[in-house]
Amino acid sequence: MTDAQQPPAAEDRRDFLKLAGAGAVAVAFLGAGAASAFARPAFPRMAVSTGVIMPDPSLCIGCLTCEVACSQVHLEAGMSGVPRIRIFDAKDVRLNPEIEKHYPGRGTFRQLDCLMCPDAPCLPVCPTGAVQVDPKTGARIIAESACIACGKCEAACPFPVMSESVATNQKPNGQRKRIIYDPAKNVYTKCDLCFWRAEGPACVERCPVNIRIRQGVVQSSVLCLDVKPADQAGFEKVRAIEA
Amino acid sequence: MRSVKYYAATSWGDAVATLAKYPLAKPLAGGSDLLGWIKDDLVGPKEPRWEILVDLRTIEGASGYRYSQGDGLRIGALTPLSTLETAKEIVENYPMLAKAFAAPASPNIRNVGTLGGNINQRPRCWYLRGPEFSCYKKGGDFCFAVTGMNQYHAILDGELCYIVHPSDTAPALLAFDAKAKIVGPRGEKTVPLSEYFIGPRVDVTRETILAHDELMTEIQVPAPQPGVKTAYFKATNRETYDFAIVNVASWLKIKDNLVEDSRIYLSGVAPTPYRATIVEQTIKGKRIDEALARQAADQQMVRARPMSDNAYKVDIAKALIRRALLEAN
Repeated sequence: MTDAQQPPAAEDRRDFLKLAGAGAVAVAFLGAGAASAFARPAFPRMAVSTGVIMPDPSLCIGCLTCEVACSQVHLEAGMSGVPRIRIFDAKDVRLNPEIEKHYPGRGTFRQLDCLMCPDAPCLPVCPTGAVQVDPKTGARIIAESACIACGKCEAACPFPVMSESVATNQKPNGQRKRIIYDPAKNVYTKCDLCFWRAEGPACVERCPVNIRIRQGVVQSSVLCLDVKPADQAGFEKVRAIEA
Repeated sequence: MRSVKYYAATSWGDAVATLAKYPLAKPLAGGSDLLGWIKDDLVGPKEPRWEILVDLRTIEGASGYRYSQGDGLRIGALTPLSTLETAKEIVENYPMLAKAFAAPASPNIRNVGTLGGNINQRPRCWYLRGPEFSCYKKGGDFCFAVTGMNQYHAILDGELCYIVHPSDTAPALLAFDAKAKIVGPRGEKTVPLSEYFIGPRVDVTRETILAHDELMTEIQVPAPQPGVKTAYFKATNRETYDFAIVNVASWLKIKDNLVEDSRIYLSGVAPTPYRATIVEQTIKGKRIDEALARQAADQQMVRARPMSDNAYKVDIAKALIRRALLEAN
């Protein structure tokens, strides 16, 4: 039995009830019998994402390369061009001394992206099954072709972003959570870890600070943006970084 | 310099058809920028080695200007800047434009440099202009300015690529709410210059909406309005000619000593000509004095995100905004 097929654990009761409720609605919608609904768990426990974008705000120089790279690769793949990662001005961040040395005077920033929650509350609320778990990466993704823009996933997302008044790019798009509405395509969208790219997430690949760290120009044991396992520990770590 | 083929276009349609037919053809105006670009052999994954130059100067009627009180000013894109900076109708009716037309480069270069060429010239970023750097603009995968030498790069609206818009004339024309006439395979269209320039987020490999087979044919400037006062300032590193550190063009409509409407544009600070909307909002309905001009400039430049070597441009931009408001008042 794979992890994806396991029944919900006892500590996930609240989530299970939520899932079961949504499952009952789905069963009713599909016209299946009540007995079959109780014979097996309404929803199998979802696979944990193999990755979550792990930011280090102390290394961010607010260059917005990640935002634009995100837009570009998704547009090239025929998806919404709304950046899934967003950079915000954040006065409370303390810069890494290496950044202060190499790139002074630019300000301090936070990189906010989907946390790839282990329980993904955005998933069971979707009435069309557009919010899915990518079978290869485990990333929680939105299939735009199935999205009816009802906004339930955005409402279920527990993680707000900072006020748009402090968004570094100063191009308001009405973003409130880690799931973002794209009026141009009338769909919701979110970080999908660029699941189709062999190179992995474009933001991690193209971040210029990452590139300079990899080249040894900037000395740092961690990257500005990295992909880390999205298990409970990884999830808690991103939450702690954002706190 | 490597050899290229030369084609003298006979009409706008002929030029468009030639560009459409040959993906490695490039339109040639004054050539003061393009020929240097080819000589330096600046190529990249998305910057081809141009093989054919389609000369637009041979198109009848592409150069010249006409002015009428009703229609305003119409300038052919191929008109040399030196013709425009001394044109009686422009000096008398659009003194700020005449100043902007005289701002680029040297008299010799303005004799060959055209208005269309000045508006559509490529940015001056030394990484873009360095054959050894495969930057985003050339189809590469890095902006060397972000982590390199960036004293002349963007302080506003930078993202991904940190070029600054190099045109001295664009902010002045934008302040007058000018339009661009464009011709392409699907015919002619006229677009406001405010929609003509695009930033790195839209397409990092180009700076305007023009497709490969589209050409700017004419600039249209509305007729002068009563009660409008204008000013233009350019700050450079050298006393003699140079590209701008910061350019500011202001257009203020004043009624009863109060600002009724305004358009303030900067270049040299952002990847596209930058509209100072916070300045415009700050001065609307008010009488401009030294304190208000300072407040407006300071509030606008709160938006600035200078890089490691170019914070000095923030102070220069503030000073030039202040001067432009006070002089136009």
